Amino acid sequence: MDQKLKQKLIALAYISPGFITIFIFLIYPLFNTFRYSFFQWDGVGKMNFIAITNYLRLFRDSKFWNAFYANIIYIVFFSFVPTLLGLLVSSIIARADIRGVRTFRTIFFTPQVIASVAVGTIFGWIYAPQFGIVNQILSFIGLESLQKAWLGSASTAPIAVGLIGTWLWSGFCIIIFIAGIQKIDEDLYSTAQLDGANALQQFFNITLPQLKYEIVVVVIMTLIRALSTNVFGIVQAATGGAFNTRPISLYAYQLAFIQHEIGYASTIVVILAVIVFAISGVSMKIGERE
Amino acid sequence: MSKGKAKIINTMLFIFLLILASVILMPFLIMLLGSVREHIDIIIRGPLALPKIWHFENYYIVLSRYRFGIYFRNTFYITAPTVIVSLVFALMAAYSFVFLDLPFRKPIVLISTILGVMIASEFIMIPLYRLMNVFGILDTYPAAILPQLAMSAAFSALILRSFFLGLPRDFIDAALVDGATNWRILWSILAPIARPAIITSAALTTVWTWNSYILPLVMLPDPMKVPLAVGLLLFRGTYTINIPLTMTGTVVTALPMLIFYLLFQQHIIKGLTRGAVD
Repeated sequence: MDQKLKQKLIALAYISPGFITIFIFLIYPLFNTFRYSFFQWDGVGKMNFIAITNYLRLFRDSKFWNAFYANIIYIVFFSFVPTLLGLLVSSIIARADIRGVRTFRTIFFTPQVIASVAVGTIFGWIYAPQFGIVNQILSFIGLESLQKAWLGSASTAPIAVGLIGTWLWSGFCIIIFIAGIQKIDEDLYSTAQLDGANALQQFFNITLPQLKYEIVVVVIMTLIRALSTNVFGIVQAATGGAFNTRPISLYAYQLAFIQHEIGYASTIVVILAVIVFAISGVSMKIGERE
Repeated sequence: MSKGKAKIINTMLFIFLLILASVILMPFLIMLLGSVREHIDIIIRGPLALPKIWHFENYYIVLSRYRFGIYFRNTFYITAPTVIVSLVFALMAAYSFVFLDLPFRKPIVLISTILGVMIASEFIMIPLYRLMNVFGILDTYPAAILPQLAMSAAFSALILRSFFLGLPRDFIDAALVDGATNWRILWSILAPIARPAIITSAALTTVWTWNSYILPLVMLPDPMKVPLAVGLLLFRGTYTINIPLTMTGTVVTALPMLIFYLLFQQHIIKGLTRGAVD
C-alpha cells in the first residue's frame, strides 16, 4: 500500500474511537434537537412537520418568559455579583502579604466540586421556613419580623436561589483575579504612586484594564453556568422549579419528559444552545486576540 | 507606610479573608453537623444547636435501610469506566492530532475538542433518550456512560493536545527512527511524560461524572440504577421530613468528592482555571 495513504489511515484509526463516540453521542443528537424543533411530536406517534410554529409559540408562552426572567436573575447573581465581589476583594488583598494564601485558595474553590443537587439540598434546609438556618439566625438576633419562607414565595425565591450562585462562584472569581493581579508589573503601581494616584485611581487605571482578559473569561464561564447545567440541579433540589425559580433548561426538561411535548421542548433547547454558543463564540474570539 | 501600620492592615485583611472562608465553609459545616443529629432534636433545640448525642448510626441507616449504598455503587459503576475509557480515547486522539499525518486535521480537531466541550447535557437530552431507546440500552449504565464519556473525551483531548503541542517534535521522530511503533510511542514514551496532564484530565472528569445529574436522570428511569446525585432527590421526594437523614444522604453524595478534591487539589484547580490563568 502507498506509504502516505497508510500513514493517513493510521492517523484516522487513532482518532476514530474518540471521534465516533463524540459524533454519535454529542454531535448527532445536537443536530436532532435542532431537527425536532420544527415538528409537533409526542415522542411516540407520528411526527408532524410544522415549520417554525414552535418558534412562534415561544413569543406567546408566558411560562417560557418566566423561565427566561429567572435565568436573567441567575445571570446577575451567578455571574455579575461574584465578578464585582471578586474584583473588589482581589484588588484589596492581592498585593498584601498574607499568611495561608494557599489554604484560602483551597477553601475558596471547595464549592466547585460539590454536586449541584447536594448544594441545592443543603440550601433548601438553610432557607427552610420552619427549623431553617436563616430564620433561626434572625430570631437569634431579635429580627423575628424578617422571618420568611425564603424559597416559598415568588418575590424572594428567585433571589434566594441566585444567592446560592453568589456563594458558589465568588471564591472562584477572587482566586482568578488574584492570580491575574499578581501578574501585573509591580512598576506600574509604583510609578502611579509617585505620580500621586490614589488607590481608587490605581484600580481604574491599572488593575481594571490589565485584568481585562481574566474578567472576560470569568464572566463568560459564570454566564454559561447560570444558563445551563449548574442551575438545573440547584433549582430542582432547592425548589423543584416552583415560585418563578424554574430556569429555561428545567422548563425544557419538564416539557419533554413530563408533558411529552418533544418538538416544543427541543425548540426551547435550541434557543438556550444558541445563546450559550454565541457567548462561547465571543469568548473564543477574545481569547484569540490575546 | 510604617512597618507597624502595614502589619495591622495585613492582620485586618487576614481576618477579612477568614470571615469570607467561614461563609464559604458554613454550608458544609451545617451539612455535617445536621447529619449526626436527630430530627426531633432539631425541632426542639433548633437547627443551630450542637448535637447532644452524635448519631453516627444515621450513616448506617441511610446506606443500608435506604438505598444510598446502592446509589454509591451505581455512581462508581458510571464514573470508573467513563474516566478510564475517555482517557484512552483522548490520548489516542491527541496523539493523532499532534504527531500523525491526520487528514482534515482542522475540522476534526475542532469537532472533537471545542465543540464537544461546549455541548451541555440539556442540549442533547431529548434526542439521546430516543437514541438509547433505539439502541435498546435505555435504563442500563451504558446509556448514562456513553454521552458522559464523549464529553469527557473531548475535554481530555483538549488538555492533552495542548500538552503534546508543547513537546519537542524531534523527540518523537527519534523514537520513530528507532523503529518503535506508534502504539509503543504513545503508551511507553508519551503517556509517562504526559502524567501531569493525564492526572488533571482524570481528576476533572472524575468530579464532573460523579456529580453529573441530567444524563442519569433521563437515561436511568429505574430507581435501583441511579447514581447518588439522582438518588438524593428521589430520597427527598419520599422522606423530605427527616432533616438529619437528608443531610446524611447529602454527605454521602458530597464527601467523596471533597476528599478527592483535597487529594488532587493542585490538579483540579489547574483544570478549573484552565483558560483563565494561563
